[in-house]
Amino acid sequence: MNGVIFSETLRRGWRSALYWAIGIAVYAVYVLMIFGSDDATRAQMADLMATKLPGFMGAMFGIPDDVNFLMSNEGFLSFGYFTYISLLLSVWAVLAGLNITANDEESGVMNMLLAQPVPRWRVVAERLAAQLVLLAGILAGGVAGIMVATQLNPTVDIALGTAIAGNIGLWQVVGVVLAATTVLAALFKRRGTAAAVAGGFVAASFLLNTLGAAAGSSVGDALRNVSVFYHFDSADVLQNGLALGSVSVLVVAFLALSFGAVKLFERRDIGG
Amino acid sequence: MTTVPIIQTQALTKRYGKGAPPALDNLTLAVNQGEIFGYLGPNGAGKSTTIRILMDLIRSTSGSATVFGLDAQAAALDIRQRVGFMPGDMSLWSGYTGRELVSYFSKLRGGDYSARVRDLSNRLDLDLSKRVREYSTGNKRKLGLVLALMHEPELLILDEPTSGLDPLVQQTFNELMREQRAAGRTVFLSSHVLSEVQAICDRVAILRGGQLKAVETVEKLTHTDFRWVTVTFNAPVSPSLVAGVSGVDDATVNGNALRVRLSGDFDPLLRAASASYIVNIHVAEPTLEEIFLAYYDNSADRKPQPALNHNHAH
Repeated sequence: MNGVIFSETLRRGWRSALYWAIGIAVYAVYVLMIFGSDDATRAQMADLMATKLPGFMGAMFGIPDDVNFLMSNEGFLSFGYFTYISLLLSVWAVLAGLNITANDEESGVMNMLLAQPVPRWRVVAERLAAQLVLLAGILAGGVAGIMVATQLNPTVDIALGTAIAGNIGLWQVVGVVLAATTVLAALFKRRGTAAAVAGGFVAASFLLNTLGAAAGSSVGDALRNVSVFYHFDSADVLQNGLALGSVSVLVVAFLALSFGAVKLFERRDIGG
Repeated sequence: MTTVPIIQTQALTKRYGKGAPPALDNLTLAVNQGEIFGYLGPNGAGKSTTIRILMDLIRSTSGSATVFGLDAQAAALDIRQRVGFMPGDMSLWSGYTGRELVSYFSKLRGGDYSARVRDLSNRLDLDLSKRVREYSTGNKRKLGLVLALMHEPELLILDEPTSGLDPLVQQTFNELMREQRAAGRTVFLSSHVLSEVQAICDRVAILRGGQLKAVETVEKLTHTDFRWVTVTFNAPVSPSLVAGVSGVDDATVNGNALRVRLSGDFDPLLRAASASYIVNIHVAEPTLEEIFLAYYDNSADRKPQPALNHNHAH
C-alpha cells in the first residue's frame, strides 16, 4: 500500500531524529548564549579572526570576509552555527542514506521486504521522503534553539523568518548529501564502500569550497561551484534570504541523484 | 487442475559477473499446481539462485522464468502478491517485535491476517511479543513461516525452511505443508535435509554445480536400481568371496555379515555366496541420501532407474 514504507520509516526514525533535534537546539542556544553573549566578546573574537587567522583558515572555519558582519547576530549565527551544523548533519545524512537500502541489503532484510508486493522504486522514494521529513524535524530543533536564545539573551536579535530561511538552505544541502549517499549505496551495494565514498564526497566538497574561497581566483570559484556547500552561503542567506539560483541547483541535484538511486536500485541484483 | 505449470523455467542461466562460471546453468524445470516440490542440492548448487530469480531479487543472465505463467521480472509485483516467501538467511530488523513485523508486512500486503497469524503462532509455539534480537535461530524461522503463510498464498517458496527447527516443530511444519497441498496450493522448497524431503515432497529435483541432475517422484527415486544386501553366514567370510561378481560393489564385512551394494539381478551374488553356509539375507532399499550421493558420484555417474522392490528375502 502506498505510504506504508514512508510512515514506517518515520515511526522507526522519529526517536533518533528527536535526539538530534534536541542536540542541535542545545547547541544553538549554547553558541548564541555563551559565545555571542555580549558585544565586547564578539568584537574581540571578530578582531582576532580578522587579523590573526590566515585567509585560508578563516575560510576553512566559515568565517565571513566582512568583520562587521561577523559581529552582527546573523554573522555570528552563520559562523558559529550553520558552518558546523552543516558538517555535523552531513554525517547524519550519510548514516540516513545508508538506511535507505545499504543496511538492509547487507543484513539480508531487504530480501524479506522485497518479497512483499512492493516495487523497488517505492522503497527508495518513500524512505528518502521520510528521511527528508525527519531532517526537517531535526532542523526545526535548530530553529527552536535559535528562538529560545533570542528570548533568553536580549542582545541576540534574530528574526524567525531569518532562522527558518537559513535552516531551509541547510535542509537542502543536507538533503543533497542524503541523496548522494543513497545513489552511492545503490551503486556499490556494500555499506562500507558506500559510507567511505560518501564520506569522501562530503570531505572533498567541503575542502573544494574552502580552498576555492581561499584561492579567490576564477579557478577557485569554478572549483567551488562543484561543491554542494558552495550553494549554501549561510552568511548571504541570513542577510538576503534564499537565492533562487542556489535553491534551484540544490533541488535539481537532489532530484537527479534520487532518480539515479531509484534507477540503479531497480536494475541490479539485490544482495551479495 | 491447470495445465500451466505454477513455476516454469526455460534454459535459465545465471552468472555472477562476466566470465564467471554459471551459478545456474540452463535450468529447465516445471512445478505443477498442488504439489510439494523439493529442490535438493548441496551448498552452492544453485538452489538459492533459482529462488532469488523467481522472487525477482536477482535477474537471470539468459533464459526465462515464469510463475503462474507470468514473467518473474515483468510481473514481479503480481507474483509477490500471490507468493509466500522465506529466504534461507532469515534476517529481520532486530529491534522489532514479532507482532510489529507481522503488522508491517500485513500493511504492505494491504490485509488483516490477525486470525491466521494467531493460529500459526499458536501451532508453531511462537511468542510474537518478543523482539527479533531475543529470538533463537529456530524462532526466527518460525516467524519467517508465519510471515510466509499468513496471507494464505497460492505458492510457497521456502529456502531451507526447517534449518534450525526442533523435531516437534518440524512435524508441525510437515503438517502445514500437507495442508497447503490439500488446499490445492503449491510448495517449492529447497533443502539439503533429505529426510524432510522424503517425508513431505511429491517430486524432487536434484541440482549440482548449477545443473539439474534429475527430476523424479520421491517414490520412484526410492525404487532405484541398487539396494543394500546383507548376507549373514554361519562363520566369518572375506569380502573376496564376492570379488568380481557382476553387479556387486562396496563389499564390507562385519563379523559373519557381508554387506554389499547390489545392482541388477540377485543370481550372481547368490551363486557366489552359496559357497558358504548362508544363515540370513536382508535387503534394504537405499535411503534418499544414498540416492542423492549416487547422483553425485562423479566416477560412476549413475542414474537411478525404476527397479524391482525386494525386501527381507530369506
